[in-house]
Amino acid sequence: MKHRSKPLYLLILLMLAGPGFAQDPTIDRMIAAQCAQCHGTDGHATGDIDSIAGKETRDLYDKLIDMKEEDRAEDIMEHQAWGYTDEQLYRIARYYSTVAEDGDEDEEDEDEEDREDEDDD
Amino acid sequence: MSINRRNFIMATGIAAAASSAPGMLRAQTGSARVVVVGGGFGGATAAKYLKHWGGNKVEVTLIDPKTRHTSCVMSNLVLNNELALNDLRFGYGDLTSKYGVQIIKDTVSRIDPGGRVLTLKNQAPVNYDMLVLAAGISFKKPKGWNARKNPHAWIAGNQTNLLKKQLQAMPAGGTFVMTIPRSPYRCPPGPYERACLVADMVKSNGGGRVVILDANDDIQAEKETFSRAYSQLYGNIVEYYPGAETGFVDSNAGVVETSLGDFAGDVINIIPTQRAGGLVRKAGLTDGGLWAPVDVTTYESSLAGYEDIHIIGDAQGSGQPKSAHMANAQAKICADAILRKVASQPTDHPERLQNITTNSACYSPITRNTASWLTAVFQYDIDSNAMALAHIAEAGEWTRDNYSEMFDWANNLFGDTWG
Repeated sequence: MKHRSKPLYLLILLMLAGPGFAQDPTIDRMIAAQCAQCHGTDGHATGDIDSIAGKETRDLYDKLIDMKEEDRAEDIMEHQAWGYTDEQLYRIARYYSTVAEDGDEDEEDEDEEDREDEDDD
Repeated sequence: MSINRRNFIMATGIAAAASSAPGMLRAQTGSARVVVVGGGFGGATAAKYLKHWGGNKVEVTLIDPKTRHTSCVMSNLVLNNELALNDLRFGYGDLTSKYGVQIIKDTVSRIDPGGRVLTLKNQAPVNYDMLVLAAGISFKKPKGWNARKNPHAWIAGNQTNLLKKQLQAMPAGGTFVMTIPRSPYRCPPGPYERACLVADMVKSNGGGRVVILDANDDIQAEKETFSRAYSQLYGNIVEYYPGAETGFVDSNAGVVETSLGDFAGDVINIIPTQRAGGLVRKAGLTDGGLWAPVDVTTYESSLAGYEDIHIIGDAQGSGQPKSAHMANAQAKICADAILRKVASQPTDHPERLQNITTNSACYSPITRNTASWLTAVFQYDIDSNAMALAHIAEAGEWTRDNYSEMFDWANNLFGDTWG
């Protein structure tokens, strides 16, 4: 059921690059934003989760397809990849290739004490 | 009446063309004014992404009565003292400084959908072109229940600290009783996770009982993981009662009456039946039900007379799990839709509809140093006009690695929401 090989990548590339298939980059962005809960806004992650900002389309797409094709999926990310179509995974990868890689900005938040909480209703 | 794929697209296309966004007429003099009510996971994400993606095309105001949101995510770790509640408080400073979101600290007391005006408790009324409501949950209180004696700790804050204090004072050999309401409720795995952590505390404190009174017929999430944890780790501590509907709660005597009989406890944690936040209900957006019906391609209310009012997160009733991660996911679909409406672009063309996805991923601590995970992906299904489950999986085990990944997951989720 999960047999897929690299030529499909080429097929998708052709499909997406063909003149009749001009695609809206804001749709790429909408799909890709669903990765940001774990991988950070625009793919800039903190901690041990991979930053995916600025990755090459092909590299990220291949990784996602490998995860999706894992027959004995154990990892949380393999199961995530499973939920998307190949074309969606390609569009996600394409979006992150357009984002600048991680910089080294670091910002600190102010630390003021919060006031009393009130329960809803 | 059933509609098939083709005439659904036609019908919605015609509707979109005919309405052509009446709110936009008033926005022609400048940018569209979008107001977001509620600074939790859904609301803060919506406000942030509207500006992140929309820039000067939208003016975004976030209204919340508090200066900071207290995250329910990770708050069970306050109970066993692994985290302090202050670690889970997030202000709105970055939303303003990085993205230009304006903040109003106030309570919305009334929505006028016709005039597109919000009445505030203390300050001047606020006009909107587009409204996003992220009002969270409220409770249907069982009779006799006093939350100051039997905390819910299901909206994080003082209630969380109160439950923590009670647990710390619980005598060795004592009994902890928790009630779980019928689904849907906020955070499906949350109660079962809490039971694990309390059992872990009880275990290292000389033993005791953890009694779970579940109104549902079975464990509602991560069934394999929690079933195994209850039998393998906490076999002589956890007692799980499915189908136990909570009735009267005698908070003075410390007794919960249920459809399976009365249960007494030294610490009683009532997680009551839930419904959409008061603002959403009182505005008529739940149509008399518990949750607000929405179009999942935009999160706009599907009721007539509420054009350009969007409901995201726990308060909406699309059937997706009520989780913080999911509220963040929905906020992005909603923000995308609003920006298209502001630009007078359609939201219902096939390329967009075929790519509306949301996902949930979360980690559940099972002991003080191990965790499991749960993940689900939803795809928009044109035929049913609903979000359909594309894939779901649970870890089925608990590991130290997962426990450490849990913090990375939470920190990135917090950052994507408020940072």
